[in-house]
Amino acid sequence: MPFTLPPLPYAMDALEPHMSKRTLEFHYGKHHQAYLDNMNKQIAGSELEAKTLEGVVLSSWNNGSPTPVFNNAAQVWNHTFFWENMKPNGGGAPSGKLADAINASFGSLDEFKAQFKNAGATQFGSGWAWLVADKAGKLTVEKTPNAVTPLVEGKTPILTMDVWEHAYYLDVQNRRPDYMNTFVEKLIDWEAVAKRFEAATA
Amino acid sequence: MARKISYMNLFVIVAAAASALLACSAQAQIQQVALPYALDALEPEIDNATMNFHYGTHYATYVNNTLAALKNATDSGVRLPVATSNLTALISSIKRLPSPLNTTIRNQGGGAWNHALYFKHLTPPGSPATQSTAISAPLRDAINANFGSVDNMTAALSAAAGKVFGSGWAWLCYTGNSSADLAITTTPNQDNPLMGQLPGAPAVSAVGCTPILGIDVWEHAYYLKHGPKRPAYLEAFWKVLNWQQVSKNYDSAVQGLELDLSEAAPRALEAPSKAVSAGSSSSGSAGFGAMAAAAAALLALV
Repeated sequence: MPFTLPPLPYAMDALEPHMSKRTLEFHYGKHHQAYLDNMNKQIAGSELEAKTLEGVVLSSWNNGSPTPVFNNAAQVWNHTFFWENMKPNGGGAPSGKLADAINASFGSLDEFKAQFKNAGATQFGSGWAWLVADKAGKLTVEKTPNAVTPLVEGKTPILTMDVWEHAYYLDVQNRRPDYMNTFVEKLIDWEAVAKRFEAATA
Repeated sequence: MARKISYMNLFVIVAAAASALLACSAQAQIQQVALPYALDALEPEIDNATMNFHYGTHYATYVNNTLAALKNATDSGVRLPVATSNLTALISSIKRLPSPLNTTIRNQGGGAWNHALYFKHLTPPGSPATQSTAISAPLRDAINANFGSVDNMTAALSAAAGKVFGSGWAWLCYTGNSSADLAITTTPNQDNPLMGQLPGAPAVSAVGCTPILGIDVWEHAYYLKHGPKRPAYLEAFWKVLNWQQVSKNYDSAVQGLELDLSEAAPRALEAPSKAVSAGSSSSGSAGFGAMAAAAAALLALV
């Protein structure tokens, strides 16, 4: 059975003015869709078809010598995760156990934001910035190039930010820092992140 | 018939030669290549907005960051194995640079070099230089020998450019291998085959070769006009490629000269008020050219 894309959790224009409809039309409708279509073509008729998406990602990672499937499969996974951690009128601050964990791991929310944005800023070329949780609730910021995801290190991401140029170029062109500020202040769905944190530490 | 050399003529020539010699010995710093065309002159193939950002911001930032890193290094007393004015030498010597300068020169210096090559070999669509008749005979022979035809080569290079995942470049490069002296290769981010095989980097075919033609496939090169449609950008790219410049790049590479990535067009010998300035950016060959021109002018009057 070929994989399908989950629908975007909101309308294409729902993240305006922070992330434009045009960006989402390309980002979800073209980039994400193409990764899916290409992955399906690549795995058609193979045992990978029977796996979960995460299983395809891990299998194609092939212990650090990724097969051609990996780039597509991981990007399918990464983007689905990305949409789910944004919402219209997002931003604000986390609360409860997640807020406590952020303070414990970073000292403050502001310090987390600074490290997260620094990860995004210093990922040269294409890639992603991540917030990762371990079972004990310790949080760390990571960055990965291209399609790579903390999943392949056996880690549990709870938040991600796409820093491929296609994520922000139509809206702010080269100004990746502006995009990251907007993402952090206006787009993050902290409730979704909290749910992932709960699941990671259960 | 006696030749009359007026003192004024002699003064002009000597002064120009002197300033050329001085400029050769001066430590000029890396700078952006000057564009021989306006930022909107590549329309409709490459749009004005993209050129504004690509040349005016991305490329400028790579140059500025490179300069800052070099200044920081020299101010800290770091000894570099090559002149800080020679960008080609710097990126060819990355493995000999200390950390963390090596990473900055790889990313920012690579960006500066790659974009110098790129912008210098673009030209307005429809201009004679974009026609395949502008390809020099030696380059045409090499392309035919290696790929069968120009069309075969451009198709193969476009295919390679289309396959780059993430940010990077596709290159036609000179290998120096007489039986197969041109190769197509790709590199990620702002890497460049001149950097050699870098630790941790994916294997680069034809590593060490000298790029003579580069296609930027970072999304910033095409996203404003084409969105995700990289193939449409690649089609447009060939309509603004300056084959004369690519031919010059091939010629330099064959002679073992560094590519002239300095001025967009070499300056002719001029009166002292418009003094010849050599070596404005990467290449020693620009300075050499100015000195040679000055010497030739002196000889012509004797």
